[in-house]
Amino acid sequence: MILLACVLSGGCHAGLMVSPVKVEAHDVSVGDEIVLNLAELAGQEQELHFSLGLFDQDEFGGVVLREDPESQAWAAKIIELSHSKIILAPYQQADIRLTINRADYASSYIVVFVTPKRSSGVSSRLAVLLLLSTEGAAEAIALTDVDFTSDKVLITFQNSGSRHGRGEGTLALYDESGLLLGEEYVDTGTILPGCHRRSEIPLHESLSPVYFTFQARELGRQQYAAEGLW
Amino acid sequence: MRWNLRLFQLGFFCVLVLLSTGSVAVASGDSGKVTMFVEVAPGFAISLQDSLTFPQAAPGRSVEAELDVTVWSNVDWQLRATATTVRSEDGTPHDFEGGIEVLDFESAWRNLLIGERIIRYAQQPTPSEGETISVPFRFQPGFGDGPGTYTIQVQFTVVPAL
Repeated sequence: MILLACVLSGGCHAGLMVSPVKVEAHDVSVGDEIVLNLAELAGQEQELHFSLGLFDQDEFGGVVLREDPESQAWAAKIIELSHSKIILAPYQQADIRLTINRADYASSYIVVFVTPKRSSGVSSRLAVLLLLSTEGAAEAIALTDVDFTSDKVLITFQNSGSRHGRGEGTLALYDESGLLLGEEYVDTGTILPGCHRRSEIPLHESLSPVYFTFQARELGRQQYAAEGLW
Repeated sequence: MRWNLRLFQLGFFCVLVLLSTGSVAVASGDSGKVTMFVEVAPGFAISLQDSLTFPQAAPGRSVEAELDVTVWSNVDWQLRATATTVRSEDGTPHDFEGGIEVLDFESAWRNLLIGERIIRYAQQPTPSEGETISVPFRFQPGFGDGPGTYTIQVQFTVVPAL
């Protein structure tokens, strides 16, 4: 019998905190700085490495990391890191400065990876998302679809603008007589430019709505956007 | 546990930014009351189990083991995992014939050697003690994998949700 053992071996593990982990910066210009704070929490010296990439979004809003050489090179043109690595003493805190080197784009979506050095085995890293947009960039969020099943409403927003935004609105449910059964505020979260994002709003079992409306909030105005029958 | 205590002492990834002029006090008349403004930044931290050892496995037979990952976060987050290299006992890279899989957020076993896998998709902020996830791995050697001990490098990534 062939004996085989497989080992996932790791070093000691990262007691590491990073903050902020998501930075939304509008109207950025060359020379602007973003500061990340790092804290060693495990009581042991840690060597941290920093790397860059881009990120995108799937239809449910999930982050899609792009770490191919082209994405890394583009990110490195926009962001200059004050350090490529640092060593934190036990319980030490340190700041890392990210400097904007270019602003010849409407928006850029960059990820900074903070990776404690490990020789082998299990390792970890923390991803910091930078949502950068320059002057003149604007969001253009529009409701593109409202669908429903017996137990949920599906709402899709599209961002055809040049920077990220949010899809928001209010779902109202009525019974046969027109009596308002309830309202629910809907916030899809961030939608990157050129992306659409779908939200699922579960319906309570006690509700049997036969009619609904959805008002999307766009540019501060409440706009009547959709209605339907169950 | 010193780790948790330290986290607590540090206010759990809270970066307090004192607004206005960098100080805090805004006097309110003669009452002696002071209004303080603080801003909590989004932050997270991760801690991993030191190692994971699978039971012995014969070719074609799969074995499972779980690895604990603890995440602290005050924003929604995702957890991903990928395996990078497989090395044999002498440290040389090994082209693994068998499979190493992870149970993803859809409760499906996914090959960990061909790309990043999402372990948790849309997690809400954690309590102060963090959230510990036992991540199941499954390993199945092939006949092309000689007897011995192999080391697989696995990397977990915590990503804030958008």
